[in-house]
Amino acid sequence: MAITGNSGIILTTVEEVLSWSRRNSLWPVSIGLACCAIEMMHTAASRFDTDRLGIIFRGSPRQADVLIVAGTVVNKVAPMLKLIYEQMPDPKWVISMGGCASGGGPFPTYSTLQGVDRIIPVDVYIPGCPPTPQALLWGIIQLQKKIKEKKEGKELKEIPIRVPTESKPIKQI
Amino acid sequence: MEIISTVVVLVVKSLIFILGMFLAAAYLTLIERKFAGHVQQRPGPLHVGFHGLLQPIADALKVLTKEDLVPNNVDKVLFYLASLMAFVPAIMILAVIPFGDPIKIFGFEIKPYITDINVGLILALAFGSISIYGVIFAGWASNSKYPMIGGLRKAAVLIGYEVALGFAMVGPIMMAGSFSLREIVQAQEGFFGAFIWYQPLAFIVILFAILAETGRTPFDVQEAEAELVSGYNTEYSGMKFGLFPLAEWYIGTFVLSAIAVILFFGGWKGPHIFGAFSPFIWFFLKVFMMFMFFLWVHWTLPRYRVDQITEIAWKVMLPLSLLNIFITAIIIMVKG
Amino acid sequence: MLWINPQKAEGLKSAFPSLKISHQKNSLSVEIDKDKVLELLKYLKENPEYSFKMFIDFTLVDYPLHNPRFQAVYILYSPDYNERIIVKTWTDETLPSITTLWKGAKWAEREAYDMFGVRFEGHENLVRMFLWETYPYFPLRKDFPKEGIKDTYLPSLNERDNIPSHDYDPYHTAIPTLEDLEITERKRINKKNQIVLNWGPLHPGTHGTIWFLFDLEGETIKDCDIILGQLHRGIEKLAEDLTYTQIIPYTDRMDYISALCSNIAYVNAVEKLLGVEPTEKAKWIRTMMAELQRINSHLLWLGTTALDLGALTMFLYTFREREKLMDIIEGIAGIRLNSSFLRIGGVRYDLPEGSLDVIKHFIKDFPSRIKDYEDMLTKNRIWIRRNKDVGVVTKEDVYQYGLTGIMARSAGVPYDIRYIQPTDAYPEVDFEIPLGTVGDAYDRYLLRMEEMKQSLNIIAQCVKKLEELKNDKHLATENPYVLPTLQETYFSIEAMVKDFNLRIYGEKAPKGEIYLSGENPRGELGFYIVSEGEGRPYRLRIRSGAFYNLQIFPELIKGRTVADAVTLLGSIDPVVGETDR
Repeated sequence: MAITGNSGIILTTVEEVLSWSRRNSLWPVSIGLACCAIEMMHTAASRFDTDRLGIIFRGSPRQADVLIVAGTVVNKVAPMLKLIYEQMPDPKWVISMGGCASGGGPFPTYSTLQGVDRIIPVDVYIPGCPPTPQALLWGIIQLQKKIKEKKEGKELKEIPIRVPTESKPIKQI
Repeated sequence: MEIISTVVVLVVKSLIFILGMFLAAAYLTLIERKFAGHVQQRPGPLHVGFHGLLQPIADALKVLTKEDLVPNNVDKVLFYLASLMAFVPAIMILAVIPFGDPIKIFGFEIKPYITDINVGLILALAFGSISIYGVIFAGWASNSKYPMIGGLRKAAVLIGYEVALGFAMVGPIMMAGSFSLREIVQAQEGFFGAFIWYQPLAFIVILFAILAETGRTPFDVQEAEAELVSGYNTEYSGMKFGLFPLAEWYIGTFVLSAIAVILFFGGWKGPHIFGAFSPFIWFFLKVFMMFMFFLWVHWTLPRYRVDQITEIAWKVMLPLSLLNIFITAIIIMVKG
Repeated sequence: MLWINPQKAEGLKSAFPSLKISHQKNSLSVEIDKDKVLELLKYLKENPEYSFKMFIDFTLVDYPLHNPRFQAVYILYSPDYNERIIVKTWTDETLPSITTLWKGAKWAEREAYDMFGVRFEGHENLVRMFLWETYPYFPLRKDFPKEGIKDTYLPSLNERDNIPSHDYDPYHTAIPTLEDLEITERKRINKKNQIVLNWGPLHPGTHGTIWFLFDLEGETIKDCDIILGQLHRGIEKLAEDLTYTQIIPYTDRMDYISALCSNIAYVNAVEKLLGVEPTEKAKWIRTMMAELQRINSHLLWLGTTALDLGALTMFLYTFREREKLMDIIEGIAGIRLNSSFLRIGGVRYDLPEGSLDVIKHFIKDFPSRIKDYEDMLTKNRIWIRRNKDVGVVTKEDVYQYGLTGIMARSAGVPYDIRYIQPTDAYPEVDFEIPLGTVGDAYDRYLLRMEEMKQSLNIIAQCVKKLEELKNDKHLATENPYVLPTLQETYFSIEAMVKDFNLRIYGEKAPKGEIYLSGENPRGELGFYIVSEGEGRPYRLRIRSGAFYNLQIFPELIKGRTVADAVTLLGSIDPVVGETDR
């Protein structure tokens, strides 16, 4: 929307409505790279059902809003992944799913990209190897929050990760 | 004065039809997603509005405000034209579809159709065929491999099924003795007057043809995701993309279901149990049932290969529809 | 162990006097000069006394201080006598290509060229297998660092004040440009017909990141080649730097759909090498878990293949059952997908209370679900028309390409590792191996459905046995190579020292080599381990079933359409993590 610099009440409402529509209709590209793709498929399947949140997977990057980088990005596939990202229309977001995509994971080798944020900017990092479907849903909800917060002049700098305050001690040991 | 009032009435009616169809198509997406969800043992859209009621609005707003991306080496004129070509004719078919008999409210006679011309069915078929060109143009204009294959597949499928569809419609036309959709409805009297009892072959052919024309599953080769990414609309984004599924999957299916209902199930006829709006309710109920039938097929079956589809069209559907014409003609001759 | 009889191997000396036979505890290999090797292989293949018709694997081992530097290793199998043999030779730069004898060597030789830089004379198109054409190094050589050469400045694009981790290096290994990839593509295929379609690598239908090149005439595929390496993570290189226990998690991430089966294949190989005998209970738990994982894997195959052929709902129905299996596996192993459940000498945890009841319930419930699937697909006209006569595999193809798993069995070759070389509890369980008659995609569908039923049968037997073995140990901790349990580590000083030693220095395996394989849902997953007496393997070669099965794809798809490619790929069922490693 070309109405920046204005904080009139109507425009704010328009912005809010648009932000609402965007975060409730996040369509990811259906691209799976490795192990995490299996959990991504599980997230889309009946038990977790991303369609509840209005998320349906699109085959073509031109029609998608989110790129879920699910799996190890190796050097050879990196330029193509970047191309996919560039083919997506604005506004677009990137979720880096799992350890490999976020920082190379257990593969510090000659052929693996050490973190997808070296080639495309990432919005949400999801830890895990592979993250469970619940974790992916958490990431998506974090992204929704991020879109909600991203109004003019106010940007969510960092996503607070809630650490459980108390954990159960391991028995017997 | 006469002319002005006619024009005003027509414009108002058209607006109602178009806007109504837009809204209906948007909510048909929700119905489809909910239906598919329940078939697949999941809830479908749930959290956006009450049970996902606001989902289509969110989707529409998002798609409308998405960046309008035109790739570099496309044929720009055709690229823009294609999505309109797919959408506008599909919605224009509505002009000849009657939703009921004229009714009188407050002394005004209201005709629940835009026009009743005596070649209504042919016009509908013609618009339907033009709508298909949108898909083929989209495939060609994108200047990309997957869309082109998708567009050509669609062309191959349609050449076969347009012919079968046209011939299958001849049966009911012969029985009614008219091309006007209103008169075809009027020719079907009572429960056993519906043409489905006399034209089962034609009905089967038309079911297949509608599935093929609207690209629903056993015949959805033009956008088979596992093969062609997203088929002919791969390069489209934003609302230009949004118009394609809207036109094909929803408006197309809806309108063709309406024609099938008119041809075989007696249109708006039914027992007068809903009062003054009984014809509308019967009509939409029947169309809705047809629509749900297509959804059911779509979410159940695997898809054919493109050569198998054309094989069915030319080797099974076309002979069947010709046979149907032949049988109908003999019966009409014998009965006099 | 399936090695050829030493006396029989001695018989080769009459034809090849320069042959050296080395008979070790875990292997039998013959060594010959480079210029004689083709002759010897041909003799082994065609002489009916030996009849090593089936190609299993080919790889190189790098000895930088030896002259000549590279040792070539050919592993062959004789279906008539049920024997394996290893043929070795040495080279510095070139080797004769054996693609004239076995077509299946084509990719193995490309891989050897890619990784070691050894050229093959007579190879039809020697290009890099995994890396791109302009990549200057040969990574599996011993003098190449594991991390690669970090020569490109490639910092994180996310602007941050604090760098994510302490060893964050803004310099990175070189990333290819799109031009590099185009050169790679051009070297594979030349446009002779209308268009060259890039099917993949980031495509919804290609099961991950396989990159297919189709030379199309209309929709008919006239020529085809496959570019792999879009998930080449260098596991073989990594493994040379890890202890034997540390490699277990990497075997999960290879074939991530059947992680436990890969674990079992690897751990069995290492146990044979170290001479560790797992406990009775661990054997039965392993077998049970492997079969659960096999059902899980076949369900994913069924769902995704149906999805590729347009039956969306089928996909969600199979994933419903997969979730149940995932829950069972999570309950026993602790993690849903890549569970790393196995340890050398046993399994990580004992069976939790009540887990057998859950499995029993699953056994009771699952047959009705299989019936649902079969009702939906087996007699479905569309399903039959899409699958019949697509990708017909013959017995000769099986031997030529080294096809294993379902691909071999659909052609009627009874090649099942669980049967010819049973490990764990497989010798004691009763099951049938279904064989195909036609060898097409529909046969493979039927076989997989039948295998699920057989797996269920095996699980039932395992549950019965495990109920008897309730109080047994799950880990053979008395063995010096086996890590003690957490409990023992905390309560006994000896166990703690042993734990420390094994974790830091690794399991010091005796010098030698071993090839042992397991029946993965995708085919024979073999591990060829060379040990130089250190705590880590000198060379770990992974013989991936999917890699060899996929190799036949270009031949089978010629003259068919793009839609058939989906069916065929589905019925081969490769997993990129395993093909690329």
